[in-house]
Amino acid sequence: MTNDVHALEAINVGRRFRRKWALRDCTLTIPRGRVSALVGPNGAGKSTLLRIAAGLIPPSTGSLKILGSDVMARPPDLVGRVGYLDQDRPSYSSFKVSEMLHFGRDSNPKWNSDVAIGNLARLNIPLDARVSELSGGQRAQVALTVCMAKMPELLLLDEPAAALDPVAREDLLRLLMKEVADSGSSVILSTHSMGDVSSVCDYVVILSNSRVVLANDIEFVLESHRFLSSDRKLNMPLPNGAIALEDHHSAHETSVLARIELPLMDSTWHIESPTLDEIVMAYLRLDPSLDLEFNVAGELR
Amino acid sequence: MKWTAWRQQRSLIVAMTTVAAIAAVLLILLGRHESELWRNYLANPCKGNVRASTKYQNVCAGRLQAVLNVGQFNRIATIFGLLVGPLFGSILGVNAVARELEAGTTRLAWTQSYSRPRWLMSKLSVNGAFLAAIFVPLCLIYDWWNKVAHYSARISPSGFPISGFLPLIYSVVAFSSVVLLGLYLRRAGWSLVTGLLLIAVVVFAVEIGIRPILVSPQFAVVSSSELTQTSSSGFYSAGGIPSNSWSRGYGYAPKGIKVTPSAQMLSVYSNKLARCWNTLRGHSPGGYEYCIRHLRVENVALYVPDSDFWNLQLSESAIYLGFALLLTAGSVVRLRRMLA
Repeated sequence: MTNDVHALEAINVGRRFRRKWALRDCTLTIPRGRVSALVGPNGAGKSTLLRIAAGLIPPSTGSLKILGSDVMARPPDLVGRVGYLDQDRPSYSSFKVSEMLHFGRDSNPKWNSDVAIGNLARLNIPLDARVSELSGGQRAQVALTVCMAKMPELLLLDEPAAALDPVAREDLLRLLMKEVADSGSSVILSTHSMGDVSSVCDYVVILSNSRVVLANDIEFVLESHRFLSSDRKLNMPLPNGAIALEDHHSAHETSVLARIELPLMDSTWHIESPTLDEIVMAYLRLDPSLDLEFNVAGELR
Repeated sequence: MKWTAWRQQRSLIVAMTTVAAIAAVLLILLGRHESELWRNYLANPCKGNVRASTKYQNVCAGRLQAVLNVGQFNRIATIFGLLVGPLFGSILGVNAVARELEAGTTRLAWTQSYSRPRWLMSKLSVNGAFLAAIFVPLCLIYDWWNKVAHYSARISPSGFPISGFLPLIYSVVAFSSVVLLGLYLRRAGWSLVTGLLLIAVVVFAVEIGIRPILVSPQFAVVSSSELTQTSSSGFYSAGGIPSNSWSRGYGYAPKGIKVTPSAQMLSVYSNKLARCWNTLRGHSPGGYEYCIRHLRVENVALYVPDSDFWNLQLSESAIYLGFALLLTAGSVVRLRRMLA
């Protein structure tokens, strides 16, 4: 497999459940070898996109390729190259932890027992405990371990750290980072936590109202957005090349979060760097009718 | 995959094996007891006839009563034999598919390194092997019990479903039905209920509509004065009809008929005889005999002999297995299309 093959390539992917679109016109490319975050509010289509990518549901429109293969064609080897962790973290509750590993070994020819047992030992999860007796965090760890020990080239994780306490969340993310570092796998995870995005991801996709509104390197996203503030009385026009995403007005000051394509040389504006959280929130608050979307190269479409 | 399929069903398999083992032991004990009672009744001095000798009338009546007293246990054993196949098959089928869909663990199973049809096939093979392992001995024990208990002829409607390999076949059909229903309904309770209803309807339809046309009945002339008491096997039989047969009905047919009369013919001549007898009733004491002679008819019985048992078993099993294969093919098609 060549490196120019993308981890995920979606062209006009849409999914409708009865009359409601859960995901619409999703055109998106996520490069390989990255830890990518899918960010968006509830109902934005994150889980739907991941389930389509995992081959669990077919798209209603468009086509989606995973690691260069069309998921609808269901090539026999593809399902073995992709690991998927559902947001409900389903597991056989009557099984012991060791039996979950047996299930993984039974179901995957590339299963790596050393990875599985090593992860669980590091997390102090006993192999003879029943899954139903584990805490939510431990269950998530076991589910992620089963997912990772199958040695997939791409991990699709649907809110892996949701509803976990800070310690469990930290452990899970550390486990994930170790896996990525060790295996070089690509990861696409959906999350509501901007802390998770900042700490483990290097690529971000923002979904809003069932559409992709931003997909790019986090570093680039941070570099290309600025808070611009000036005296309100001056009523300054925005600098050339700046696109306002959100503005705030106080009695004396106007503050604008803007996407800026070129280095800003205008000294009449006070310039500050926004956090990723602030940028994401601005995109999520955008009026859906604006249909503002940037492609991978960072150009406005 | 097979290990996972086995592990998911392990508790049920242990429970069902226990139930089947207890049933088998009870059936063996019941069979031995009944065998002894029949041996007493069929031996001297009764020889299966409570009125054979006035001297031993009380003894023979007592021995017959002892045989009849275990009838309620025979009924329970028959009902269990009828229900055990569909119940075991349905419960296993529900746990294999509908419960997994309900719990959402299909999202775990269907993202492992195998296709959905292979996932289904592993379940079918493990559960099929278990059903065969449990029902082959149970079927053999039921066959033996039915033979020694003389409760119902194995080819008769009450004996046939618990004889041969039909309990195993019923369990396979029930399993396949519930698997397909589970893939549509995604709810364990509903799948179980609708699956049991479906198997009941199918079994009833086969018994009423298909089984009678799978074998051609034979006929025998019956004389009302020749009703025998008990054959050596313990079954009552009418004159001319072999014991252990499946009686398909009585009626009247032209005297000396060489080919098996149809049920319709029996009905036509029976009606003629009834009209004749009604006309003469009250006027002539020997009206019935007169009408028989006048219309030149004789009383005949249609029956299917015990020798057709295995033909019927194989034919009916083939129909059920064909139906189970269709259901399984439907499950594979549904599985490929369905959402997780």
